[in-house]
Amino acid sequence: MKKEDLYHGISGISEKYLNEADNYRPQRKRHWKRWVSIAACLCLVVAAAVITPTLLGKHTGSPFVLTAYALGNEDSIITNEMIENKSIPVSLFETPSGIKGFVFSYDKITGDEAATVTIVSGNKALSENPGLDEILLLSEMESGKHYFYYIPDSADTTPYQISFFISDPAAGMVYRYDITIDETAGGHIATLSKTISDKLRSEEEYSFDVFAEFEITEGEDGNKEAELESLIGFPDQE
Amino acid sequence: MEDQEIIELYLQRSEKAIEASQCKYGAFCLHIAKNILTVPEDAEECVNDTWHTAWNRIPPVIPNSLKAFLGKLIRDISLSRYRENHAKKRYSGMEVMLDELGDCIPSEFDVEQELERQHTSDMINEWLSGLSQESRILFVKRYYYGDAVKTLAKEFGFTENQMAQKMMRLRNNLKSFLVKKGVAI
Repeated sequence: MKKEDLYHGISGISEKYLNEADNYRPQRKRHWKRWVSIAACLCLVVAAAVITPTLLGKHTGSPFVLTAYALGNEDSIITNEMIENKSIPVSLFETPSGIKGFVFSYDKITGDEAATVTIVSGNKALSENPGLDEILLLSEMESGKHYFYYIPDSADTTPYQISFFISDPAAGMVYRYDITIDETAGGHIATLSKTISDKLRSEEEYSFDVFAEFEITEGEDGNKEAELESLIGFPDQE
Repeated sequence: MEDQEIIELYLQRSEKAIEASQCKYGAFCLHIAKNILTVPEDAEECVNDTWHTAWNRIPPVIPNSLKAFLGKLIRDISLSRYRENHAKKRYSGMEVMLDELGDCIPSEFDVEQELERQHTSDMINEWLSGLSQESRILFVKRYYYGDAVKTLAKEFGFTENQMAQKMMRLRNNLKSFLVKKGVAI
């Protein structure tokens, strides 16, 4: 096959994919206020990382360690730290209304800070799902952690390729964790293919698949409550 | 105006067909031609050629999708113009002469070539269907519309280098897919 054959083959791309690309609008940018609020706790993360060298080096250049969650026997939850190129089991955690997603987290160091969650999905329709906040009450979400809840789009097929971004404004860095989730006979496995560090750019230069961020707090009745912090990419709902 | 109505105008040999095509798909075609040729005047000429080619092809061809049909035409015409421009610069006589001789060949469809291209398109569409939405959009924007890596990097919030790497992974992925399908590369 010659280059031109491929060019002509590409000329026959289906109209539905042309329209999909035409209708794509970049996700709205992450809110600066949010960056600033994260900055405070991340300063501490950096300080702790410098003082505690063991924290460093688990992933090249990044002081953060991702943890992946899987279901064990009798609904127990197994946690595994992610190390580059090592496959570890992960599970889909399902909400009562049927939303399924994979759960990852990293420590925010300040142990008493409320847990926060970033929901990552390419499926924008999910934002209208009244059951979305159930995600946050799914499992024991601990204070001092930031969680990622990745909901694969129904149109996606395994292996899922996702990237999580963890910013470190104090150091002017952002770390991208590229993760592949594949399906095996025994369930799903996740592999951290690489961690890439990059200079933190201005808010305008960023766009994310992220569309919702929540903070979890304990209500007066002792139950956990999820407070929506920001919606990204949905101007009419902000 | 609906595509079906525009096609109907072509079938009735109404010149309003060209006007309607220009109105609905002018920007779409110009976007592609400009990305391929970079010279606005050349791109505009190619867009005009596209309407005339569509006029000559419909009928007998009745496109299922007018947008995809016009997209294919503008990509073909832009590639020919690109070749023509480069031939003039690099090889002076021979390529230009061959191109001119090409005008003598009746412009009937080369059925075999058309079938081969359709087969390649089918494989690419199958491959696209298995990609994540973001990857699919990136591929279409880069290799169908010809959007520059720099432009895409800005649009998707990556650095140019990250975007180039994404593109490389996509190309490698497509290559593996085509090899699996038995395409000799």
